[in-house]
Amino acid sequence: MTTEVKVEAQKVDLFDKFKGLKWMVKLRSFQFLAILPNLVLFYIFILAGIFGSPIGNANIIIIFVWILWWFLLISVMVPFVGRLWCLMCPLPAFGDWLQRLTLIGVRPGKTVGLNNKLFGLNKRWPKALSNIWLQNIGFLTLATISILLVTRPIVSAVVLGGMALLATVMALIWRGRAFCLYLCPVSGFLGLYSMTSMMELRSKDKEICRKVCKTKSCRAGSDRGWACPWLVYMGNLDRNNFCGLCMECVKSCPHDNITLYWRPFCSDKVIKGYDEAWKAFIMLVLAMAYSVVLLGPWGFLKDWANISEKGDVVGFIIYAATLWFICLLGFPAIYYIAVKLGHWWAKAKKQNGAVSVKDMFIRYSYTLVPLGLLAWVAFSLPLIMVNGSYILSVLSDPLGRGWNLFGTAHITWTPVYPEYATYIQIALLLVGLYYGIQKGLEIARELWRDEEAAFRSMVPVTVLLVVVTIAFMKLFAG
Amino acid sequence: MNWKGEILALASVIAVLVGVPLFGLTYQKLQDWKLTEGGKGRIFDLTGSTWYGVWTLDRFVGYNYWRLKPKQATIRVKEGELVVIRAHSTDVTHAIHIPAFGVGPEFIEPGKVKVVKFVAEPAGVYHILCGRTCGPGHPFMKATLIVEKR
Amino acid sequence: MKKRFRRLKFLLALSLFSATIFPFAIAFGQMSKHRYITIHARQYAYDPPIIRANIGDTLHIRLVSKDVTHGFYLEGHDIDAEIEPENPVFRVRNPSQGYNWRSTSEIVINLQKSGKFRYRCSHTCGFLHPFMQGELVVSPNYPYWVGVILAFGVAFWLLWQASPKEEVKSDDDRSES
Repeated sequence: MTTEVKVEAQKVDLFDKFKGLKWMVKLRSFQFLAILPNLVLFYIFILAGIFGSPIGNANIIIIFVWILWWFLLISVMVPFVGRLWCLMCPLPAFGDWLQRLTLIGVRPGKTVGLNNKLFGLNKRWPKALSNIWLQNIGFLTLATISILLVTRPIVSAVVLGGMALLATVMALIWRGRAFCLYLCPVSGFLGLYSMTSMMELRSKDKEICRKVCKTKSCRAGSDRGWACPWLVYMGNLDRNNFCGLCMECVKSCPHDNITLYWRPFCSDKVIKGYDEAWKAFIMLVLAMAYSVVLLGPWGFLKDWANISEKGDVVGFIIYAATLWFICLLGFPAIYYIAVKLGHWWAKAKKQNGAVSVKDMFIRYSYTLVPLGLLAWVAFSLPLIMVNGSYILSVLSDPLGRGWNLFGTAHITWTPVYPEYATYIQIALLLVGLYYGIQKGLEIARELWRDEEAAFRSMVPVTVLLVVVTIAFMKLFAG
Repeated sequence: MNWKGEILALASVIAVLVGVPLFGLTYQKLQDWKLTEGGKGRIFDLTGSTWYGVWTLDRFVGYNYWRLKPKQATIRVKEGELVVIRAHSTDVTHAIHIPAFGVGPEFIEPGKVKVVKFVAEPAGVYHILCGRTCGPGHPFMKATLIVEKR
Repeated sequence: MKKRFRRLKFLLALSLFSATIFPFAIAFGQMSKHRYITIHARQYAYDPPIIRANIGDTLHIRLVSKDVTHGFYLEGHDIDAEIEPENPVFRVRNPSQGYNWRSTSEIVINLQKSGKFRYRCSHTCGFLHPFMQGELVVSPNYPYWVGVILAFGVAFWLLWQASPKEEVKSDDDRSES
């Protein structure tokens, strides 16, 4: 309880601090203007992937998406501004525009109980699939073909183009941003990792939402803003996971009760279901898997993953099966053992309340979130330090056709101090470990009434976290 | 409803969808024009592949490179024409080498482009070779250049 | 209960600390050697994938390509080489001095820094070129061991902070069997 009060006290109201910010996000054209440049870029990327050179480091789609954008997303955007990418993502833009039949305006009306005129079928997404399992499977599928995805321009073009197409089609059938909520693989991990981010959009006073507000315009829409495409009701929003920061609610709230806060790192701590816990497992294991296969020295693993070139079907099956097994069963089992040991030891103090293993399992999986995020940052860092120079050369020759748009086409590959990457990676992992353990201990105190029980429950999980951290260190620096 | 804004927004989206490919095509045409010194010469895009052991005029691009069955190139030009060859590599480092015209060996990195220019005379049949041990297909990379009498 | 905790933690910390000193001790005891290695490059890996050496060693490296032209960029040691297939002679340069290539058949490096240094392919050799890399591990690997000690340190410190404090809850102690 005290940690929550502490966090609340540290929050900074950004709309208060920067007057221009609120004016800017309330502009009807705000989201469109944020999307437009990314629309240009991703359009160029997809065209380059289809019509440009098949060589990865000469094609803008590979360099800009998997080196530049990925690095910016995971290292700069997520820790600081959370899901801000979702505001400016061009892939669901056409879907939004077709659902609304307007690019910047808002249409009041009445559709499926919402106060906007919406087009398309506006069906409800099936309850059974209203979780992130599809995103877990989707991300794991992309991870299985990751070596093809990040080296073959056409694969990236098909995946990105396919996502845009799917998002558009889904917007015509289901309400809101169904693709983003339930299918987009990027959205899956953005949602989970945005729990750590230092920015949040919340209602200032939930009592006003619940007791005073009659229209619930954030959720239902109004003549000033669209119904939340992420199906959020601000009176209940208490974590970042499913808020895409599109700012429609800021525009439509009749009580001017919504604001952007700056807050401490890892302020959202509540994992709400098995699907999210499994996302934490998958992301952590994949950070390790990518570091082993892509950035490791073992050629036979790369051969196995490189199915379309090497054709080693048996190797590929071993690689894929091992990956899926460890992500979905192997690592969760080890984590379960740590949780069970902690639970058993904590319960040895007889007067403890009923904290179930299930609750512990789900809530403590948050410890893997800061560690996983920082592990991903540590993984992405050498990629940009070593291959960042390609950004300049590919900018002038996006299709690998001998163009020279900005005069930088002849810049040769120049790694930037790659030998220092290991030091930075170690520091990042230590930060992730620190927050993982610390937040775990806070969660433990919230679950268990007794201080000693809380402490005991976290010891095995802490050991697991340390082991995982050292494993990453061995891979990166040892 | 801000109709002016809507139309402006829609116009910008259409401008993007149409403009980007248009820009690409225009820039390419401009490059071709500059390279052939204002249309005086002829441009050929020659791609080297050690996998297939060819110098080919077929283009390896994103949507076809895995299923393309490239043919060894035969370039026909008229005597006295300015020949501009844009050499590409689709897999590894090659070197374009036309011994009869003193062209090369000029290294071509995969994904990069090397431009070689020469005037095609006298008439005859010549070969375009690969001037660097590139891989298994190296000895087979032999395109034909036919310079016809006027 | 609290006292047992503290002693246990202290013992663990001590044993861990001694364990981490061990590799240093071994490494210091070794004399610098000359190591002769031939690194084979192929699409898309190096063989050997990992080279282990000690600080002060001198490496004599020969480079061979088994299929196409590959590169060999050793980070931290200012070495970049380009290897052609079927040619024991290759060209090498010092990246800090630009593109002045010189031909050689062996690279000689004296290892002055400890840690993990990767050697990467610097010459586009195919699809997986950006992921073609090997590792040179120079012992004692100070950065790694410091990292490990700090990881334990972070965990111990946080657990110590969270462990229940001195105030004796007399009822609890008596109820324990």
